[in-house]
Amino acid sequence: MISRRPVTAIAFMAPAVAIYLLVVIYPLVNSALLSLTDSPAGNPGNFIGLENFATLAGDSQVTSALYRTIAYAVVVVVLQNAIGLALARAFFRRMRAQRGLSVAFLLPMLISPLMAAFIWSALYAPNGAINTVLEAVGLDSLTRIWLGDPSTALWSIAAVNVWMFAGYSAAIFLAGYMNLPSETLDAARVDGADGWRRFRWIEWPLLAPSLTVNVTLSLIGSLKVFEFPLVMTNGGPAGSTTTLTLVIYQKVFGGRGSFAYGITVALLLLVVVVVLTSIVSAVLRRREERI
Amino acid sequence: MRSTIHGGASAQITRRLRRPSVVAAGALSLGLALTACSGSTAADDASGSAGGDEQTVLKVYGWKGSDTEPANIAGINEAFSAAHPEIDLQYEFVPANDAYIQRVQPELLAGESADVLMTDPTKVADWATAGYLMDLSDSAWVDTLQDEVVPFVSQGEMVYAAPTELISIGLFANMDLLAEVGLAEVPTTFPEFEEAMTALEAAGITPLALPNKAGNTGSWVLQAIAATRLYQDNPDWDQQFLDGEVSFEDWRSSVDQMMALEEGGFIDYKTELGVDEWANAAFDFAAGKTAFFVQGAWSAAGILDAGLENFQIAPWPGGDAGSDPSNNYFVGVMWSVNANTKVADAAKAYVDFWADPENALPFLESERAQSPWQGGVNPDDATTAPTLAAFEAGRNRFLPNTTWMTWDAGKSLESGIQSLQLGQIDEDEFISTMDAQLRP
Repeated sequence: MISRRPVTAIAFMAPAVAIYLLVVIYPLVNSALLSLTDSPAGNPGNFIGLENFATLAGDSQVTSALYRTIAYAVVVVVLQNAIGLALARAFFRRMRAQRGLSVAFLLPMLISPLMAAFIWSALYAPNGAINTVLEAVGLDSLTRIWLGDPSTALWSIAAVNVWMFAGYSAAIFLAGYMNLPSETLDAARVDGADGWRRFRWIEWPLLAPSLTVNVTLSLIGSLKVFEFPLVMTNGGPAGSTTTLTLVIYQKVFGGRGSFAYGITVALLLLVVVVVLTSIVSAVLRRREERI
Repeated sequence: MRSTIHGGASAQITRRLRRPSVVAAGALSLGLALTACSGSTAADDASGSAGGDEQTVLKVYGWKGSDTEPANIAGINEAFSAAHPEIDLQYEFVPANDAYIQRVQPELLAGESADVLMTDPTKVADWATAGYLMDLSDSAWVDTLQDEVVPFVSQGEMVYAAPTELISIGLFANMDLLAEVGLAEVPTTFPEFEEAMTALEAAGITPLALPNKAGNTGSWVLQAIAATRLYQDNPDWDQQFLDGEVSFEDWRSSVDQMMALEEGGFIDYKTELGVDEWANAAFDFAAGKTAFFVQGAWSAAGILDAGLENFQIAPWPGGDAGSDPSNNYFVGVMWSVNANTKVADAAKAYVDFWADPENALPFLESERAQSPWQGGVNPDDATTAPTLAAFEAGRNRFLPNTTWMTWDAGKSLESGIQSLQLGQIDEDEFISTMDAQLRP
């Protein structure tokens, strides 16, 4: 029952509002204010107006990091969800295998990203397991300096991201599959729809809510990717894996007076994440409604 | 009727619950607001000075002193505690580099960090500017600082840190492997170095490793070369660069030498870009996989622990025949006092203790470093004999990481070197890019 007495309503809302103000609004406002200063290490600095934003507009490092981050996010979102969907599709009727497989799917996600980055760094090393296996099976021509070559480094990191979270996407898709109305699936089967046709015309449209959740979460996660490039390449070689979060990190914690500018770049990332996620989410929600 | 009775009971229960719930909710919000408004008193309690016979609690943060890098910190702290029984020293190891800044900088901002902080030139520059560090200019040890060190511990006219070491970033040489090709000493010139590497290769020994995945080694090598090829003739080059009197073109012969290592077949930079200098290099060297590699002298203790005893740390042999090499020094670990400390006397006593060269000697021995003090005591160690010889002869260059070689500039240099090693840019482009990016 919703009380009509405003005092009661305000009193019940107050804790949540207080927490929200403290945890979300205060840091956000404080960050916005800091971006208008020359604060070297988080302390109150001198007010410099929009100077940091003017620098940001002409900063080629930020521009290239932004494009790189978006390209990374597109690849990760597509691959992670495609693999997750394929796994869910393959196993949703195999009830006995599902429990064990669900654990197996989620296992990579339970590893700390830092640990995963270290493990994969070793696997990607020039004399690491990946090149050794390729050589052992006669595919020497495919061996690479995976993390040392600008043409492969970013995508090698993206592969780790996909490895880590594809199972998570699969679990969400699997939950979506479990909620598909069996009557509809049975009717489709009776009507002769099988394999690809059943997936394309029955399952895919009905999985729309799962797709929305998966794409939104993976988009946010991949735009904010940080630990993998930090540990695996430190943004190199030659800046080819420097994502926007790494630029922020380098500015905020890199010292020599660039703290406030780092906060300015962080605000840019916030805007990018909010705008892209809102657009994608709106498009997918509209698709759900159409279906 | 039934619904009326139900509705009435519900209303009664709601009335009974409403007031306490409203009060509780209000109290919770008030509590949250008060928590937000009030500063924590935990740090005050921890570091507060007590009267009578009670000890003053002194909290110290450092990134040395872990199990993997003990650096004799525990022994020095025990000696301090013995000399100052009135102080309860609470030393806390905090992981180095980014992790240290992530932990300490927000604490400083909140005014609640440790009383004494391990710092380095970059941190001193940043945190002193931000007002986080106490001015130590009136300390007795200020007058005994080596002249070259003063800019790294100061901001303006104020001194904000006591240095503990000058630590070289130089050439590590496996003397057992060198002995296999008849060499008893680390080469001191580039022609000798090339000759040694050719002999090692002929004997089936990998001569050199310069793993550069993180970008650090490339920069270290170039600067180690420049210490001899550039700074020996022009020790004032950094200031001239800041004043716009010289350009990065002066680094060309150093760049030439770095690239000549690949042209001579001693190194494959593209492969080295896939190898981690922090995770692999020292262990590979300790395992005898390569005869030479470049690292900071701080790695020596780890190499010894990994089982290699017969190695030396030497200045990069970058000069022409007949020349002597110069050290490439990093003014390393320092101690600073939190401007917000409530136990300033105890904090200064700790810094003063370290500023006594005799007290800091065990640290220098572990670090294979040299003393930053005039007439300071240096460890007598065969491992660092070539470094010490150059040091005592005055052939030293100091990494200018508080002027033009800032953290950002260092990243630009590292990235530029990786581009050069990948063949994305040539030497001309590298030099012009660095000239544009590094000049403040």
